[in-house]
Amino acid sequence: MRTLGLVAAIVIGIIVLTGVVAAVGSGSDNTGETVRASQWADDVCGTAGTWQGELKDLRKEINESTYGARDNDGGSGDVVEHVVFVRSIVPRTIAATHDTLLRGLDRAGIPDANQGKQAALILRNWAVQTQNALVVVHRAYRHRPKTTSTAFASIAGAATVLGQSAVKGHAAFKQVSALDPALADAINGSRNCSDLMKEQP
Amino acid sequence: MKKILLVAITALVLATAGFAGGSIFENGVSSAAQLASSVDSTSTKSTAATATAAPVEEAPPPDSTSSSDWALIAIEGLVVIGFIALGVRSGGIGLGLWGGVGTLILVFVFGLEPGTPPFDAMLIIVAVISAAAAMEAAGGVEFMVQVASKALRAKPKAINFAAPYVSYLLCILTGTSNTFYSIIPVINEVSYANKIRPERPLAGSTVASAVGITSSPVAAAMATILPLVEVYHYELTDVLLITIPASLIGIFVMCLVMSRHGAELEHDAVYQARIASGEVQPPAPAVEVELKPYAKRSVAIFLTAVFVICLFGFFDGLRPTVMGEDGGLEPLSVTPIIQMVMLTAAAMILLFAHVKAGDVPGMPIFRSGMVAMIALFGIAWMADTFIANNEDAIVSALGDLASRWPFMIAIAVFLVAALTTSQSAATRTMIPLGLALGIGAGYMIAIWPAVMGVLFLPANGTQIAAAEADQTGTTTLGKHVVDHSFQLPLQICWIVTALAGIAIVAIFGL
Repeated sequence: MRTLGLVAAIVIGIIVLTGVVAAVGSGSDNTGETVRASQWADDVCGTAGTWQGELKDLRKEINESTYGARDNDGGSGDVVEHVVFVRSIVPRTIAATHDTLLRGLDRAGIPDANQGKQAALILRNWAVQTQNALVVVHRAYRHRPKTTSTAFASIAGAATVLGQSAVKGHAAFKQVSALDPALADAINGSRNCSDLMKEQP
Repeated sequence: MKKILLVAITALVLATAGFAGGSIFENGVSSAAQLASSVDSTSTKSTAATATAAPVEEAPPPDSTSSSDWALIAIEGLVVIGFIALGVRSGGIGLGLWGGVGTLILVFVFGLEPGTPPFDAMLIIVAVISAAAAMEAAGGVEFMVQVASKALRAKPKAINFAAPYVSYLLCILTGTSNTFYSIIPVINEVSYANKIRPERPLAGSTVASAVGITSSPVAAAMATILPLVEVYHYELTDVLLITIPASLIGIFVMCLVMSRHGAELEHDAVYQARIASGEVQPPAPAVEVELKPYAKRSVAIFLTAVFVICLFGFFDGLRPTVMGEDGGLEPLSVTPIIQMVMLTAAAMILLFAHVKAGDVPGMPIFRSGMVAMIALFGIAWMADTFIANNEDAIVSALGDLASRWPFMIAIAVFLVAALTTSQSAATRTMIPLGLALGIGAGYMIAIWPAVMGVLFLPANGTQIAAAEADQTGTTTLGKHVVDHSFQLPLQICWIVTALAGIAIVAIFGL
């Protein structure tokens, strides 16, 4: 009887947690909808910042993949138990770009401004171009490189795409600002955007 | 009644997995396509002076999982679960041996690439049991038990609360639950000597060490989450202000439940059977124990080693630097430091506590530690072989689940951690997804302790070591894979911690 009570308590706990998450932060999907420009700016800059954070994490994993340097949280299947190969990073950057950047930009919706749809499309195009370029790199080098030169080329390919993407990302945000003063105000007034723009591409 | 718990949890997992798996077969209209087409149709009408951008077509992401792939993944998953079940029923090194058979089948029958055995955890177990067994040979364990028993005389059950908080603190200081191995023998011996059911403090402490990861400023998972939330103005202090109080509350509730969980030791059927068969000796009254001459010295050396590990873990400036992959210098990781310091402690105990090296392997702690290592070797290798080959598909399915129903994000984080047995993997894959879904960064941080879901399956080193250390048989890895001793404290702790974190964020506006 006591076990039954515990099971019931756990199930109720999960239901309550799910309900609380739904109530306080179930996420806002504004895909295709018009939203306030300030909210849109916060959302797109937050999304771009999170994506950049994922790239920083990937860089850190590569930098610290030697036995002595890598951290271990203690999980027996912990990723840090493995050696991280640069080649394996490319699919992860594609996933990050698709799942975080593209999905986040779409969910941010369309800013309530004269050129709102154009602004959303400029940022989306930047994300799609980044993803497409990474997919091209992945297709070319998805198999284990047979020569040293091919191996280095695969590293260079992904690095070049991400480097160019960072520059193009900044350019895209500037282009959006130039579309409409309302958008420029929204971007300049967003804390997320000001933090994002501090990062050098 | 355990069967009810088993059925309820299994049903929940299968329902969620089926939900996630099924949803990816559906051909929903892409939200991106909607936006692109809406922009496309209107952009031609735009009269703005600015140049109009044309939508760029999205290339299909590589390696999408087909329905036949999913069937194969499901069969492989059943093989893994089946061999874990065989292993836990067999017990002892049987867990590792059946894990090895499972790995063989996954590689030769299903053609998977072999995963990586958990070398770090295995080597830490070897190093820690060397030191702990040397201390036991010197009589140090008896001394520690005596001291702890005196301290606990008024309230022996306080170990049910003290042990989890100590293991939580150790994990915070060192950034890895690998430190927990060093106190497993101590918790077991102290609780047994005080006739406390060892399952209570051992299972609670194992879970507390896992939740400690999200409260530690030096953990790998913390280093992973910080770049993801910094754009939302959450620094390390902000994260800790949410996770530490929430974890303290979660651990307290867990301890409260665990302190009343299960039969008292003298009424436990399995324990009584072991006593009757002579497999385990009843605890000797503390007054009857005559200490060996260098017992205190061995304890001092052992505890100094634990303290030194904490120092190195918390202050990375004390650590020597090693070469990183990019040619830069990085502080030496805590993992090899634990191994080096514990092996050194063992050597110092041999030297200064006058223990014969030949006596150490004969100690019960050494035997149970070696069994734990072999068990971990096979079972974690099999799990990793499955995960390494299917991680992208698993994460993608659960990510899809969260995308469709963002309120399921906490459960998705928990399940990703459970199926990858990695806090870092769950953090790096699910936290950005939640943020991209528009869930506030504060709430995502509150939900983040769900990564303690790594303990959902009995495939972690700390679980196996704790179960093997407990000779009374109360701490078990279960008979049906999910009905292990750690399940109840795990479920209580993650749910309460997440709810407390959400409340902290909502109330204090963090």
